[in-house]
Amino acid sequence: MNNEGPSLAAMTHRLAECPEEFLSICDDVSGSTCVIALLTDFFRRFDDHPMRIDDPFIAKLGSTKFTANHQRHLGLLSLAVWLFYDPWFSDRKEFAVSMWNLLTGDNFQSISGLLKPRTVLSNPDRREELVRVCLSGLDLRPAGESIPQATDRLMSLNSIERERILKETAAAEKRAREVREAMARIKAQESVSRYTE
Amino acid sequence: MYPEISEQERFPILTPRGRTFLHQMRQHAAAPVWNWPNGEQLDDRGLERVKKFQRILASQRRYTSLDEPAWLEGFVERCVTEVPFYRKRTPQGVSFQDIPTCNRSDLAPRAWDFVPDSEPIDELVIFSSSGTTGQPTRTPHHPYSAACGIPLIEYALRELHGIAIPHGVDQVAITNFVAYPSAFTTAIVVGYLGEAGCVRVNLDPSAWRSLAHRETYINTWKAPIWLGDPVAYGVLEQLDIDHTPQAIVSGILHLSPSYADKLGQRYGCPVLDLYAMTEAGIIAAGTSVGHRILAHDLFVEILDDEDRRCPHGVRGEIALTGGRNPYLPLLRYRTGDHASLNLIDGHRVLIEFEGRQPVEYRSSDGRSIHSMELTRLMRRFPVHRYQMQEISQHRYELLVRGDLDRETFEKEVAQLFGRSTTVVYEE
Repeated sequence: MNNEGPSLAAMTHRLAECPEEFLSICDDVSGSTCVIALLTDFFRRFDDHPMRIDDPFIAKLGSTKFTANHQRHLGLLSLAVWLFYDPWFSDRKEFAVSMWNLLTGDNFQSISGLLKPRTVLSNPDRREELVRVCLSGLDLRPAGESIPQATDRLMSLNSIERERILKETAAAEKRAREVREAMARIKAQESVSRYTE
Repeated sequence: MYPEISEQERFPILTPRGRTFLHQMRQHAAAPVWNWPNGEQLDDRGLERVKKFQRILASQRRYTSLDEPAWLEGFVERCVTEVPFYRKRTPQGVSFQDIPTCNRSDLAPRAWDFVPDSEPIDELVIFSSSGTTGQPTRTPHHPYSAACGIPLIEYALRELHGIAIPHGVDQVAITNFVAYPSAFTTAIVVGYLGEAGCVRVNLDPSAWRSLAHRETYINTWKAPIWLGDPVAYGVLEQLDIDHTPQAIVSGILHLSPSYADKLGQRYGCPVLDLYAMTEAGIIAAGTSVGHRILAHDLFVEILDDEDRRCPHGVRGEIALTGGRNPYLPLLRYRTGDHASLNLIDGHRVLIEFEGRQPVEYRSSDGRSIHSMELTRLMRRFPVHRYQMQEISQHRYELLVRGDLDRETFEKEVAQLFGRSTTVVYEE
């Protein structure tokens, strides 16, 4: 997030205005084909675009079984492409490789396990999260924000981080419950000699 | 309600001779009523850990400074990574002296938060304490850490008085005396001592089938090492004991120097005053210059009220870091006890140590009531905190906080104290 990007308000507004078709194309088994076509069209605009049709990511996207998780992944890819069609990015061809790396990276796929695309459109926090994830993938932060501000805000919205904390909290509560139960066992009560009482 | 565990669970590595000896101690015609059938619960691995602890303890070199030891950094790292209580409150990268202290009021309500995440809990046992601080605490312990008490007593006796505890089956090495109604009584064999016996007898008449059995039993199993507290020794002095021990050891309650002298003269043996607490086990032993810190795995600080370390020789509260209880690693744990700290002849010594004094109350009919009786009563109820105040001579006010069955609780308090005590509930 070393460089200033577009304004946050403009980006979230753009996402909110995303045509329903960008999501509805992901609603059935033809979704993979549609999103691959969407990606192909988008990256073709760049002279030296990083996307290759025989790229393993494309092959995997095309062959993955259509499940709810895959549908979410396709939907988020579709939304991100819509976002990157914004005029702010049109003249900045230097981001093509970063965009490709972002969309094909593990982090983006992880988020798709937690974010529902239609929730992104309806929920301001999730909308802001997707914008910030996309910008940080290009080493950008919203215009007018400092690096610490942008980092802190992304962390507080981060679904992966939130999921990690929830899992950690659940694990900690489970462990505390197990220890409490072990402490309550009658067999454990003063069942070993001590020499100073 | 006592722990119904099998002999195999109590003594996983008992030999046939050890079993025979155990039964001899327990089934003697003059034996007291054994009301707490516990054991060491040490398997081969546990016993080896105790022996390893003893080897390191015995090979300690003299200290050249009171500075933080080399093991401290790794210990702190483990605490703030693995122990929920410390992890929540310790900022990343903070220096040792900036780590916030904790005490029994932190431990009592959430003892489970002090158990490291990676520690298996199948061997966990619970020790309850204490009447003296008013914070009843149920502390998780491991059979290994409990069993290390014997090597620590042995080390102190040998270092300070040149006395060895006998090893080997068919002899009672240690008798632990207590004297108040309903105190735990048990007879065990100690793996570390080669299955020598250790009996805990209650000198209160209620613990015996016949009053004459007290002397008979104690005189039959002549232990060279006596453990007890000042109250128990006071009762013991009234009995007709036909032998003297090699050493007298006082444990959880502080022994005044004058009473220690009296006991020493009467029985013609050294008297060892231990400083111990449930959370940390045995910490130090009394010498002519102060209480010498025994264990190599404890780092001791003297702190002022602001958690700052006092200069050497300046009195403050004793705080502990380290210990050997896998379920309760201590990190700047304030003990509530006070002393100054100095290096004397290569040993860490607590100067003018002030430990917990034995407390006795009077019932309305003039009977003496040991503070442990009050502690035992509190353990049976979900008491968060209590305080006993003497409001006039032999009249008390018991302040209690907790969600109690008040009628039952007050009935039991009245049974113990008669009409001398009023219960006041704190919200």
